[in-house]
Amino acid sequence: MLKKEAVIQNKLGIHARPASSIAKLAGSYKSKITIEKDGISANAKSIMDLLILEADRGSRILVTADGEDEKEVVSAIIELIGRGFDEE
Amino acid sequence: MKNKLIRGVPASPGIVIGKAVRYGSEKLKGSKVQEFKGSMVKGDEVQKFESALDTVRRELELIREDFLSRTDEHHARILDAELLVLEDETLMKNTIDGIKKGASAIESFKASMDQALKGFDRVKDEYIRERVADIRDVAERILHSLKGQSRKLSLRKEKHILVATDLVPSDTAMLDKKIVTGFATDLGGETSHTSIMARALKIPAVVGLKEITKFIETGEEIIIDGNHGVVVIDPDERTRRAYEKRIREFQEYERELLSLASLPCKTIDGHSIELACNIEIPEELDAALDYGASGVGLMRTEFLYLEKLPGEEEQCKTYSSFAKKIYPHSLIIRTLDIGGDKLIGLGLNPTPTSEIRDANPFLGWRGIRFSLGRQDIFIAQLKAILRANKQGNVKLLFPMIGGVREVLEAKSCVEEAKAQLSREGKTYRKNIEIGVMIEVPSAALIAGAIAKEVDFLSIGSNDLTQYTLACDRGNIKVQDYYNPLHPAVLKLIKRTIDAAHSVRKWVGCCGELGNHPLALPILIGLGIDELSVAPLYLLEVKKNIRALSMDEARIIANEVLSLETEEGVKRYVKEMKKKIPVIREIMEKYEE
Repeated sequence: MLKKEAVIQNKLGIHARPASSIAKLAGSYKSKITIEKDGISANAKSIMDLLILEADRGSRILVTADGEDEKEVVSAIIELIGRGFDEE
Repeated sequence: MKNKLIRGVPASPGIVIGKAVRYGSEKLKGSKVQEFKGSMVKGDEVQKFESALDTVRRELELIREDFLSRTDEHHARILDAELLVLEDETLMKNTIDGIKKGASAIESFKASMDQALKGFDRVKDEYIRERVADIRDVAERILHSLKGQSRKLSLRKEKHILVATDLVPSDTAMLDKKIVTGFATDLGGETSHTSIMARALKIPAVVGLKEITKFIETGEEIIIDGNHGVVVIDPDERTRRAYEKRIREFQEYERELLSLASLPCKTIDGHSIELACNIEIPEELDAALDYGASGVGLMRTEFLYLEKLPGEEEQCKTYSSFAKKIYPHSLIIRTLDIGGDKLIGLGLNPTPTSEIRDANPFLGWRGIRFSLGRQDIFIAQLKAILRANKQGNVKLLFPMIGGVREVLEAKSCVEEAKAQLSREGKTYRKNIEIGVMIEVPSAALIAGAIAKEVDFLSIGSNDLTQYTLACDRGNIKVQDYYNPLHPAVLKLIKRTIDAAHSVRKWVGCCGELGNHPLALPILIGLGIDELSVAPLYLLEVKKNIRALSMDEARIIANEVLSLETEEGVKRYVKEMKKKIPVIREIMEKYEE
């Protein structure tokens, strides 16, 4: 199991398009992946779970992955968040 | 790409020019549903859920394409999110868990969706709250599909040509032929479901184009030439005009053929031949009636068994509606003819303890052998067929008979089915004509003994050729060896016809040989009583029969049957072309 923290940087936070990007990315990996914010945990392969996190700009989130490709998926998601979901 | 020509497999005749709509990606593979289903055995509701997701995915992809073609990226992106709802792991897992606990797909999906939507109640962000409407839209679509209220696939109102990787039965079932004027697909062959459906709906189609979805964009002009299996993308003016001319010519030819629909099927010298249709899917029945078929010579029943085992009631309903529609003509229903890998899909393994396929599926547990081994399934089908024979126009046909033993065993199953119906107080006619497919060489060799036990024989020329020559017709490496005009095959056919006639039983042919232009004079000359061909070929065969004389046909049959080598038959055919104008005309069309 691998955990890593990150801060949401894009202007609108995890709204529809970023949530789609995360779910799509997560869906291509085998590991079990969750994203946690303020004690609420979302399955990263569930777009609806991700949306109700309401992670806006500045939110601290915790990415957790468990499985054979946990290392790759955690760094891929952290990178995606770091790039501000390629928005703006 | 200007004037790009791509060759594929001609699936359904006709030529059409129109605007293309590219549609969807591949069928759901290794979906979330499969993942959560785990080792669950009884998966009816799971399967229902999965196919509903599949249908909705296709609907959404089509709408998405539509938005993109109008360069409306904003809406296309929303569709991206909606498509992801179909992959939502939490939603899938909860729904499957509910089904595992005994809920129906509808109940379980509703509950899971409600739970997911509840989470949005405490969301303050307006933008995210707005997404709830999109999610509800997806939920509505899934529910619609689960309730079987599928919408029409063609969401556009303008006419268009559908271009897709492949189409599954649920797609083609939604095709509105007034709007979809043709289609082209990457995958598929002449006998795939998509092709059969296209022919039934009389929509020009080309399949097996490999990568057409990569070359075409929605909105581009495309020509579909279903006669030659050619597609032209973005044709230039000259090509376009050439095809417009061909369309007119083809329409004229079709009109000429259609004028034959109501004319009798007789040779020039007045010898009548029954000309019936082979039906593989329900939609083909309409085409058969339009073309003036004198009945259904072969109704395949495998389509009923594609996804699950159908019950007696369901089957009875289907057979009854067919029988009613074709009345007063007859409906010959062939009992289940599956084997090999198809059984696995039904959860019926050829070997009880493993999932290994028959090593030689065509020589394995198929056709009547399967039915006699699983009499529960067989008798349910027989009961349904017996009950559907209300007007007395239904006949029974057994596949894969190798000898008298199977005939007797199958007949005793018919008696058992009747006894059960009597006990259950269900009405049925005691008399039903029974026929046997002659497709195994052993059956052809003892056709006389078999004919004594039944009312008619039907030659299945495709399998008879395959089994006689020990040649898998699906195997490209040996396709040169597959030759229905091989002297050995022709001798077995003659033997079958003579044997049946000697005990005053009639013989039909329901294989492709019936629409092979060269085989036609031979079959007729040998005295075949009935031909049953796919609806598509019916009028052409009728045209050819009406141009033949029985005297000519007898001479041809006699001479061909005296030949001992394949080369000899080939040479004779060449000469025949020179000598007999009708044959020349038929052959020239055939070789085009």
